[in-house]
Amino acid sequence: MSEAAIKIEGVTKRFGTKTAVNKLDLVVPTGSVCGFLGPNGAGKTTTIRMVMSIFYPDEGNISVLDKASAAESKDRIGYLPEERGVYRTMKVGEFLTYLARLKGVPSGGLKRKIEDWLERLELPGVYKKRCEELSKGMQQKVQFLAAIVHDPELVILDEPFSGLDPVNARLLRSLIDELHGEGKTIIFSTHVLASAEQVCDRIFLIDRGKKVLDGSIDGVRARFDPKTVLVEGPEIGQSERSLADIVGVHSVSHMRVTGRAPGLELHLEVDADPQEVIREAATRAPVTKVELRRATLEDIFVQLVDRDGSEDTIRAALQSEGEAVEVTADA
Amino acid sequence: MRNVILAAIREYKATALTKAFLFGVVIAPALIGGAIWLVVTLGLFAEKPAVMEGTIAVADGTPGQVFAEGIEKRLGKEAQEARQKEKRQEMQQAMDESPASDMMPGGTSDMALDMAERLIGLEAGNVTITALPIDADLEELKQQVLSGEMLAVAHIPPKLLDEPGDEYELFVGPEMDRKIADRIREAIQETVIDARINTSGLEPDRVFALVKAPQARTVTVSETGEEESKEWAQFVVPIVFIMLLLTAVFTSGQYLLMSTIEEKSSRVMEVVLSAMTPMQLMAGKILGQGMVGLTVLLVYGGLGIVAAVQFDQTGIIPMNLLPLLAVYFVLAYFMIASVFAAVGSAVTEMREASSLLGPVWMIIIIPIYMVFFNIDNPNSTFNKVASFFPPTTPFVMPVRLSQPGANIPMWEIAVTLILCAAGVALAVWTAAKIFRIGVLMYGKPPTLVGLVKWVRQG
Repeated sequence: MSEAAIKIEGVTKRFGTKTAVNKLDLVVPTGSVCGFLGPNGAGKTTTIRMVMSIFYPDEGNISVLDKASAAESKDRIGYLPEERGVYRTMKVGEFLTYLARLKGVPSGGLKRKIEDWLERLELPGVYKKRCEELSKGMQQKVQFLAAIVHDPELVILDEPFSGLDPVNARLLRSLIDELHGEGKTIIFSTHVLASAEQVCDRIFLIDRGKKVLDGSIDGVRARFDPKTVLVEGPEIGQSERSLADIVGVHSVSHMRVTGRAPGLELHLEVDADPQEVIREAATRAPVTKVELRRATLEDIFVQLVDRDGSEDTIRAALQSEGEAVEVTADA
Repeated sequence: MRNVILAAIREYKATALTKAFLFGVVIAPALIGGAIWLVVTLGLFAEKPAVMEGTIAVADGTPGQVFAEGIEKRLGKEAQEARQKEKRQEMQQAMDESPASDMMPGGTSDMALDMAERLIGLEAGNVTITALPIDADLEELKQQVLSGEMLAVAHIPPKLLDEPGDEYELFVGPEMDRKIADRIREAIQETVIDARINTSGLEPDRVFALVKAPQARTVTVSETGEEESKEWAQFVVPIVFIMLLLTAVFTSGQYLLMSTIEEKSSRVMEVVLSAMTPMQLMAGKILGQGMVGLTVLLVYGGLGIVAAVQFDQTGIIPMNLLPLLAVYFVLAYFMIASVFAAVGSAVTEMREASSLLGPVWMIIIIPIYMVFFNIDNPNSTFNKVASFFPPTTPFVMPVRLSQPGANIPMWEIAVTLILCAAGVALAVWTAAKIFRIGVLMYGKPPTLVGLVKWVRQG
């Protein structure tokens, strides 16, 4: 087995005049759980569809499971699309059997296998029910099952958590962990970053068709943490210039949290001492709160795809070095 | 190929093994047939023949009261019975000559004849004619009609003998059976005409014999010899063929459209496309629905053949044409199916499909209507042109070919087939391009111009 489950090289996809994906490079290592993050319209689904050979790139190459295209290895891939549904009038069992047979699963023993899976997904007794009789959450689980029933090596889940209640989301997370434990490669796209944080070991961030960040989750955290100091105070805006002059502060941005006192984020240089900056900030401005921020994925996400301040933040990210984290942007 | 077959099987099962399909295609026609049978059977018992009985007063001013005498001669019991017999014979003859009789095993059935008789016949009863002077008291007579004492009163002025356009009066009661009134009027008419002919010094029988129209026995002369023409077959066979073809092709085409739209609107499309290519899906769908069309064709065509065998009319089925007709079915189906698949893939809702399908209907349906106007002449210019136009070839050619005595040259059949096959290939190719793009497009449905762009992109 090759080290990379998916290799994307210089891929560009245009729809008319709009460039959905722009010169994208990405490697997804075999056996990893890779979170595919980005705001709506960033190009996540387009990239996934190209990986699945549903769209074809205008430029560049994609290889999936060592094949030139997913069309040649479709039976080894499980895919849960973002736009997903069921055949309303088909019975659940027939629907799953149909998709499994399409993916080359022999019919012998298939019924048993599907029934076992339905049990595990807490859907007992729905085999003979019509899909339209199920609740939306149940249909989601059936769709998830449809993606993995043929025991694929690579599982691609596009927004798998959308529409799931917390209990079922937890069930799904545990199943993803389980699949990961079996050595399968899993890619899932989401904009619910909390779930990505809990499940992924790698993240890949895309914005406006371009890769912004790609690396292991620990690497990313190390890079962005603790590199921000948060200061709050009623008149803090007036001290912005003096705070920016503190040694070790690279740039300052306004915090966008409503319902709280005005705040500023001090983005630090790589080699800055956070404790020193905190002390200095308290002396230079009337602050009510100073906080060394532990970056969540959401912070990184918002920072990196921030429409207004993207130049600064991406520059800041670019300055950070590290073997695991690669940040690209042509600002 | 595995995926194409699996998709075809799913498509067939989802369409043909449903209650709606069984009802629409199999049970509903059976019910209609049953209803017709029921109506016919009930009709047999519904109407008892009316009995013609009673007194008819004839106020007649002719010398010797020839009208009253003539009417008596025609409405007396024996006269009525003789007339019934004559009518029955006429009816028998008419039925024997009609196409329907060909379908009756052993000629006209007595049942049919009985039925016809019940519907138009009368039972003979005792009828008395009372001759009255022309100035009889009409008011009193009318009272008698009203009270039921008198069946009818006829007031026939003598000048009717010389003035053909003039009127006479017939008074009948409010509950008079229409058929009895008709019979009385008929008797009066005949009497008056007879009397006129007599007055002119001619023989009525001789005059009627002279105006009897001659009957034709039409024989078609062809290279294979003479055969008695069945002119009705000339219309029935092609119409049945085209109807079968249209029903089968459009039923399955419609199902294809609906199932494609369902896959899109229920968002199951991409799930399916993760397992196979759009081309495999389209091929599977077209094949599966083709099987549905074939089922429809076999059910109805089979019924037709069973009926033909039952009524000993297998001769009207052009057996030698059947293989060719199968080819036309396939061509027609692929032509229509590719259009429906493309349109189905491009839209998200059924009502959006209609605007795109409008022009398609025009291209196909208008020529088919035109063909029916041209049906008497399989080699008319219009029919020929329509035969060379690929979208209409598979609909027009069977009509032309299945008409008895249509001599369509071999080269014409071959060239139209080749043109049509090329047209079908183009249609499938275009549909494939649209399908590939359309299946994952949501939102505003494209216009025809938009579809052309997709074809270029795809």
